[in-house]
Amino acid sequence: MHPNLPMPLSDVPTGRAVVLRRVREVNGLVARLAAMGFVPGVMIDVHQNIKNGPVIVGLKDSRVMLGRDMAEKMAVE
Amino acid sequence: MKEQITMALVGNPNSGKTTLFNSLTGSHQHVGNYPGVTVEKKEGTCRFADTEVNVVDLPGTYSLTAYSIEELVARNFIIEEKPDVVVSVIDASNLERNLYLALQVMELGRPVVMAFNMSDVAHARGMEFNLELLSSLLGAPIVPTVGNKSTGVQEMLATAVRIAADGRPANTPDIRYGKDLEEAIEHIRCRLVKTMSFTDDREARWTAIKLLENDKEVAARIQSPEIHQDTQVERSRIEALLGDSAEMIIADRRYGFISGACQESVRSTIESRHTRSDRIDEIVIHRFWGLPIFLSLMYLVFWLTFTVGTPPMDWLDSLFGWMGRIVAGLWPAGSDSILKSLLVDGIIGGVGGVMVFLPNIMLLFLAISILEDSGYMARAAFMMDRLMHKIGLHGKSFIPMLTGLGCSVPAIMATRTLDNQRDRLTTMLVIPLVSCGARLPIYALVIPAFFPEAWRVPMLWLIYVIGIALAILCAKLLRSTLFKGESVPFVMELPPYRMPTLKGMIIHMWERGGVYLKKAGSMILGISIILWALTSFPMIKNPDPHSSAKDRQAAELSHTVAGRIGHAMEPLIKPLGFDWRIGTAMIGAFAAKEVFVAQMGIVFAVGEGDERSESLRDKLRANYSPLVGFCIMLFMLISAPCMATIAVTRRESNSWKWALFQLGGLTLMAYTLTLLVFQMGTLFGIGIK
Repeated sequence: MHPNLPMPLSDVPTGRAVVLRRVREVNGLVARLAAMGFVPGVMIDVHQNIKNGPVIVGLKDSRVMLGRDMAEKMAVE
Repeated sequence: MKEQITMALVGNPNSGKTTLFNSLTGSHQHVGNYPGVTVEKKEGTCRFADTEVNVVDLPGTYSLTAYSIEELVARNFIIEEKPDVVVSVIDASNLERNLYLALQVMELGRPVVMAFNMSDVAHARGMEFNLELLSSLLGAPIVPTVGNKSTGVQEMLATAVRIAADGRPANTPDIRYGKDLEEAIEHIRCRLVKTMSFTDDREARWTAIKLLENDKEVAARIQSPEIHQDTQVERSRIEALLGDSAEMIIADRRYGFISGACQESVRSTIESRHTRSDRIDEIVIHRFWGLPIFLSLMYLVFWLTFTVGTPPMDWLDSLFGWMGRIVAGLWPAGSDSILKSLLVDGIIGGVGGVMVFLPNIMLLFLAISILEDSGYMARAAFMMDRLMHKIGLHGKSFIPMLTGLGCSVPAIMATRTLDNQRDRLTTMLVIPLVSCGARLPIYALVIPAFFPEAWRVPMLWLIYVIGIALAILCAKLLRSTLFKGESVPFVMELPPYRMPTLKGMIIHMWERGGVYLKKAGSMILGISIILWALTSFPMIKNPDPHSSAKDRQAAELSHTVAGRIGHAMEPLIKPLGFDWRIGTAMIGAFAAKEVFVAQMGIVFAVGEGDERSESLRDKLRANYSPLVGFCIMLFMLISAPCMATIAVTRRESNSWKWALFQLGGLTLMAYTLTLLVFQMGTLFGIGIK
């Protein structure tokens, strides 16, 4: 796995920290995500990523749970 | 100074806004609805010196876009109602994201005060604020508060009142969006000023930014097609230039501004507010331990509801028994006064029968409040996500379902948090299968009547599990037939664990449990009287003097309206093991489930005349088998939701179609399943004594 190539957030193993690059648009959810701090360049810690389940990430000072399908739409490095 | 002012509270979910609201207004609050939409409007009042402050608790949101109804409501309230002062509640331990919303609030041009809530937590985490500097950078006064200890609340109120009297809008923070965006904003702003005759400069700039952010609601208010065209051109230009959508870049710049301000005025000795929370989470949402912990907690909730609730329940029971005897004692022994029967059998028997279960209901709501206030509910949603995904919903749908344990009505209203209409309808339609608090009295009546001590809690557990399993099956079915389609990804914050405050818990418990009490006082009182009349009239003019007392009573009951309806229903419900008495109670239960208990009480009391020595449970045991008892619970679990549920489904789904579909489908299912259980049970001789 190349750490510097963009990959979906859903593929990042538990315990890794990554930088968000892009969020693909789904039903206007991008604006909500941006408000929660999911903007390009932000550091994301992956707290829990178990196969098929939602992904728990830490960003800034909050913990957010992302549905797996959402995590697949986030490109990180 | 003004005599009366309006103060609006805005803030992120979990920012402690509600706690602050509670500590400001205490018990002086009421809940209503915003006109036209189904969002709860919480209002309360408090006093400061000679000013009466009307406090409005706006829905918790992350931003003021038009993404959800809640956000729109919050934004429109500030724009249209023009509150005298807006208090932006900020979780100081999660500063940047909370300030994001605060910035948007300031852009709306009302006087703003920032309440730095949970400042104690932030301090404990090693954060030090230069509030003066931050306040001047952001352009609004800041007051540190600790909502759950009421610290700083008076100072906050004082500042708010002063700012309101001043009437000056917050300085719009000077956010520079970068050359390309600023050009676009300026271009559209000029257009707006020219073609739409915007006079207020700030308003024009705000509208321009919102248009660039692709805000549907603001866009709808702009009539000019050229402006829309311009906006589109600018949006695609920015996307081409900067490689991201305009809304993303605007959000990014806002965060940039906030980071800058924080860097200058906040010193942190790097310890996240989540360390303790994270440690708890390591166990609580562990991939193996998580689910067992969740199930044990749920079991604990029911254990608490039943075990702790039993003594006060017995006290209430004897209280109503005593009241009945006192009232009955006003008449000479053996008299057949109709008024006496109305008071003792109808009102005290009916309402009392329902009121007895108030302790259980209150405890259940208390448990739900604790789960919610402590932050566990979001974890439960996380754990249930995988399961919910299998049935085509996601973890978020789980929270309304859990609320459904208390009452279907708020649960159906809670589906508003689901962003997708298909998810929402599916969740809404299956919620009545989750046993609500009003069904608890039925179980609480039936279970101890038929089952030995050791079986009681597992039996109750079983009934609830059956309901939940059916809800899951039905959701799956709906999702793969009527509401086919991809599910929408979801995002949900996991708030840090927090010790629930006593005040908050009591207020939450009371908000919900009070509905039960009110219902008992109004609707159930009325229905009890009607049902009593139906079970008392018409009377037999010349009873057969030769028959035994018991036969005569039975004949009298059969002669009444309720008896007749029950008898007419009997062929239909006989295969389920129900007799006409249960039939009449089932009709009453459509008004409200707990009326079933009241009606059984009335039916058996009327038949008994004076003696109330035997409890209703003993009478049930004498008249029915455990299998029938189980079938009663099964039928009441699944069957026709109460009138209030139908009404709220109709309102929330905006169509009678879904409400009637829910009613018909559930009743049919109840009938089929109960028929199956009773017939199989009889066939194999299970529970027929």
